[in-house]
Amino acid sequence: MAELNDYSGPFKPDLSPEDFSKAGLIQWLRAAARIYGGIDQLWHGPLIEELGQEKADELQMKMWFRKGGGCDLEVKSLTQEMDFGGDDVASHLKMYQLLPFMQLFMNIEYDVKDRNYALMTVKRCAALRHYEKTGEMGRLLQLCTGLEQVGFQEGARRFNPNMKVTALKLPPRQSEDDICCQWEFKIED
Amino acid sequence: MLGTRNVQCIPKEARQMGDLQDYSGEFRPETRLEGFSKEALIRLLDAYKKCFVGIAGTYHTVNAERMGVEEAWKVDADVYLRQQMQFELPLVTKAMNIQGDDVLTVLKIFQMLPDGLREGQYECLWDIKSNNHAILTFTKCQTLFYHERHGNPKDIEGLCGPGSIEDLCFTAYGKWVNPKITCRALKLPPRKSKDDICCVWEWKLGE
Repeated sequence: MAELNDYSGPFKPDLSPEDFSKAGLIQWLRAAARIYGGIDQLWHGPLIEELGQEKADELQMKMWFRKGGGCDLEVKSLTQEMDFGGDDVASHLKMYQLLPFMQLFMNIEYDVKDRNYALMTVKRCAALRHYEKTGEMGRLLQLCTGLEQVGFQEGARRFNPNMKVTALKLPPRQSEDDICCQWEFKIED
Repeated sequence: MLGTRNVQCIPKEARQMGDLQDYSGEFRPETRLEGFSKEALIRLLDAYKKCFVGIAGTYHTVNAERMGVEEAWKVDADVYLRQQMQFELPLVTKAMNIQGDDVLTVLKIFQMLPDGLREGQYECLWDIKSNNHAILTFTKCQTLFYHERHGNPKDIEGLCGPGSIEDLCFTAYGKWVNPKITCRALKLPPRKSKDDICCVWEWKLGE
């Protein structure tokens, strides 16, 4: 049977991912990634409406960083399914290349100096652009200096407890030509 | 230990082709989805599905701890309905070029959702009466099994009882495809035993 490039044809009760061509699968993956990449904001938004910013932020942090929570789940699922591990910075950076939000909504440059040191420069970030437009700088700072900063460190710790993540540059930025943020990943003795 | 797949399981000829079978090799700054093999992409899709369902489940758990189970299910319903309308339905139908206004179109969408049918997670038997009438018997639902294990009947009611999140979402999928499509539950949890089916739903295009 010919591989499917999309699902415009008849309903197939026994459909499996293997039935799609690589191009069809990539289309499907990108749609799934966009949905999954937006999931946190979809949950966080109603919680802010319901409970206010501070309590919503507290629940968001709990969801991501409790034992078995979002951060553990992402590290476990992606490293197992895509078979990567290791305790160096480059192994950890593979995570970011596969995470939907970073893959689809950001342009990132990686500069791996050696196994213990790398720089990650975010040149485009859809969330930053959105908050710059709406002027919600409080939400922006909560995202970049709260969730992301803690998230990068927590993610790194799951690969190597001695990996330290430092923000070298954070929003707000002076102009649209400026980079969005820059992070240093370093393994300390 | 992070990463457990054994590369020896992958046929030699597949390994020699340009596509990456996984990401066990060196870090590639310019890595793109196109650089992976079909098998690796399927596993990545599976990882996304697990994360998607798991993150929603963990949000439900922390919300229930904070505001109680019933309130947490209300938030769940609000989030799922927004997600359906803003993201799932437009993105999935566009990406996979799914068109049509009959019941089978709804079922095609089901197969494509990130938290939709997946072997081992959510499994069902299809009884396709016609393009405009189908009955789905869910034989496996890990979300139901999770709540059965944790033993809170309010969670099962919130998940799949009348007016529950499944009821609202299944109905909304049908209405989005065609406002004349109706959805009703023919059988719902709680189950009598673990060998029992999970639930049965009927979709029908009315006149």
